[in-house]
Amino acid sequence: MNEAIKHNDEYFDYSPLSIAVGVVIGVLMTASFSYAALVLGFSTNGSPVAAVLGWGIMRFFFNRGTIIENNIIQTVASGINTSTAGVIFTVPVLLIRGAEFNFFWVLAACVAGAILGVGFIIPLRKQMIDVDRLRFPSGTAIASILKSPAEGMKKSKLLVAGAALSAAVYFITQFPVIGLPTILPASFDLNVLLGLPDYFNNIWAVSLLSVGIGFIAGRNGLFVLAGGILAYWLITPIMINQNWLPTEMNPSEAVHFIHANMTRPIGIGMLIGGSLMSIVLIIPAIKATVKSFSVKTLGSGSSDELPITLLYKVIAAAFALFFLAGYFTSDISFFTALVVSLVSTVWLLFAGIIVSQATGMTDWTPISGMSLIAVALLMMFLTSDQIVTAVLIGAGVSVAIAESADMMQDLKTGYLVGSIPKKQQKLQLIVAGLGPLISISVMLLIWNSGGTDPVTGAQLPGFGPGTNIEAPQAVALGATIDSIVEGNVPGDKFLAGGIIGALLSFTSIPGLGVIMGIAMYLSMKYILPYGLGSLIGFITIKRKGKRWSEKWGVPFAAGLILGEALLIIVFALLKVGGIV
Amino acid sequence: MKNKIVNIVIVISLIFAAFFAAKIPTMWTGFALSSAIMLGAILLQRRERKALFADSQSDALTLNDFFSSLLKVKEKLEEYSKAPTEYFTKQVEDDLEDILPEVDNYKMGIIENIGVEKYTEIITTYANGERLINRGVSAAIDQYSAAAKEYFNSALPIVNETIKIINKIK
Repeated sequence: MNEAIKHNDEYFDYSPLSIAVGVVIGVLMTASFSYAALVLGFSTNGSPVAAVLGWGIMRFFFNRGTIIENNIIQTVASGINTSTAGVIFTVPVLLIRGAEFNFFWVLAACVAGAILGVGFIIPLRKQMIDVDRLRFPSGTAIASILKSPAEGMKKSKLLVAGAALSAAVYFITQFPVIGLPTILPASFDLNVLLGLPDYFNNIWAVSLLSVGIGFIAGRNGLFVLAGGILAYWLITPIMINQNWLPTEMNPSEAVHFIHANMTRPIGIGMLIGGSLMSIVLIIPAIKATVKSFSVKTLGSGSSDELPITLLYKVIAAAFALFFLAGYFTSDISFFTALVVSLVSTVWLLFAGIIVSQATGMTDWTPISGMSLIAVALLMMFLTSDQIVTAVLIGAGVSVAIAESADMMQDLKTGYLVGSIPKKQQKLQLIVAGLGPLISISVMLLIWNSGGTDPVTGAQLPGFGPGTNIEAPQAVALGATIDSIVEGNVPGDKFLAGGIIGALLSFTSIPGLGVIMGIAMYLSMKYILPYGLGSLIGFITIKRKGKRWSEKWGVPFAAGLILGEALLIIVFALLKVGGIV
Repeated sequence: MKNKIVNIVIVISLIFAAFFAAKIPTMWTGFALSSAIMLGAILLQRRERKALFADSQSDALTLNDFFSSLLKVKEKLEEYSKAPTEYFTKQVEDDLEDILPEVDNYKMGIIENIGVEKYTEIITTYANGERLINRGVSAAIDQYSAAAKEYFNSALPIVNETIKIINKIK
């Protein structure tokens, strides 16, 4: 037999073993990320780490594992883990506020959100990956990670070098966490060197992960940078210099105020308007895409796509579940519950499209912005006594959005390595519900660790203000809800942003409104290293060509993403274990 | 030159529109004016782009270029169908690297040439073949040579079908 041929077996997409490995990795990541998200207020994309762990486990413990099998491992693991942010950034607000609610409905809303998120993107896969050819930078990076070990030493070395470099840099930035002196801060203000005023936001996160994502995002990343420059280096300084702020405030307060009340709401509006215009422009393409669902592939006589009819069932299920959750958790009328569930379902469908576009073009997922709109829309029909319903459905929407974005990234990876989309989607549909179950269990465990008041016997908070675990995102959501209840919804900014976004998406650059909207919405701290990565990518393509950049640049950038992501998880685990 | 001026107008009107929008309260008159200028410039930009892709002398990639690259893919896949199983190792990735078209580079040209609906018809068909080719490459890298050959063979009729669709449209 020729030495080159090692296997004449069938090339399987998955086996019980690969699914089991994916579930174990996903469960472990979800538990640690849930705790870290409560403490630190952020979650991270676990896919790169799951891809490498999966490959390692399969190779060293079982002496097997192909590229597409490892793709299923990371699909399953990230499908479980991805709902963490959706749950932890929303549900704790109910406990912190002492609201009365039934946990069954919270769990049901989040589990349903996870399943709906996967279901809602059934028609979007073909549209955004096959037709629109969106980049999905993380998905592209993971395809490179999956292929590198088998592709040869050169690419593997590049991947490892990138990972080692970014892990080392991240580790050095974390010295204070492990009691060592600061050598390299986690972020630095370039204005200190340049002598520019404080309101000129020039803070850079020391994040090679952002640089790597920016590199892969390519030209779109430069537009994100342009959006950041517009928001932070043009609008903000002019507003402050012209003294066009409603009240007197110091520069750092002013920067925060302008972002929270001016540029961020405009960014959210741009995301919505930009996405709407993109949809309008591709209506004929959507029709043709839906028609193509019946195409048979792989010579198997069956389609590689989940049937479009499943989408209709998912929409019906979403509507029914939101209705039940709304009706049984607050004292609301049948009609109000009907309206609220209709609004939630329509918004969920639309938010799924916005998020998939934003993630596909830039890698950023605007979960909190979309959830904020969901809560704002619901509060138009609910009273301040019915906040539980708004938060509960908002949690379901958040989980669904996160799941949609993750599924699209996984499907992009799948496309690049040749996985069958139907198989990936089916598995993610099956395991997605596990994530909310674990996140909510971890959250309750921590909440109950607060104990009881020895005098009154009342439950003491395990997290939230005044405790060691601050749950910053949930606290922020609580403040936002209060603001919405008081009627402080920046509708004019959303509308103006919507018009700008629609106009930009009408230019010759597809989706420009969404790309620049995400830049107005994000913190400049991460836009800057991301933009730097895009600039490096752009120069690399100009000098060396696109093929060279794909062949050698992407594996190194994927390594940069991997190394930092790995260390983030290590530090999260150390935190969970009480070691740091 | 004209294009550059149009782009500059779009950028300046965007800055003004964003600025008027950000102010509290929103300056609607200034916002409407700058948005109208931006819309006018965008319409000009779209007209210019249409003209660019219609001009056969321009460097813009068109449907014909995509068609030519598909013929090369077809040729390679036909060569693969006759190759022995042993041939399908990780070297096929390098083989295909310069042959597989980067659809993203052709997308705008094809849409301008034949419209988004027909572009979608072509590309949804081709994408099924491309995914099979990608799967074949993965199988070859993993040293599942027989499976790799099978996937390349399955991709060939799909590429042929895409060529047929383009011929019909042309």
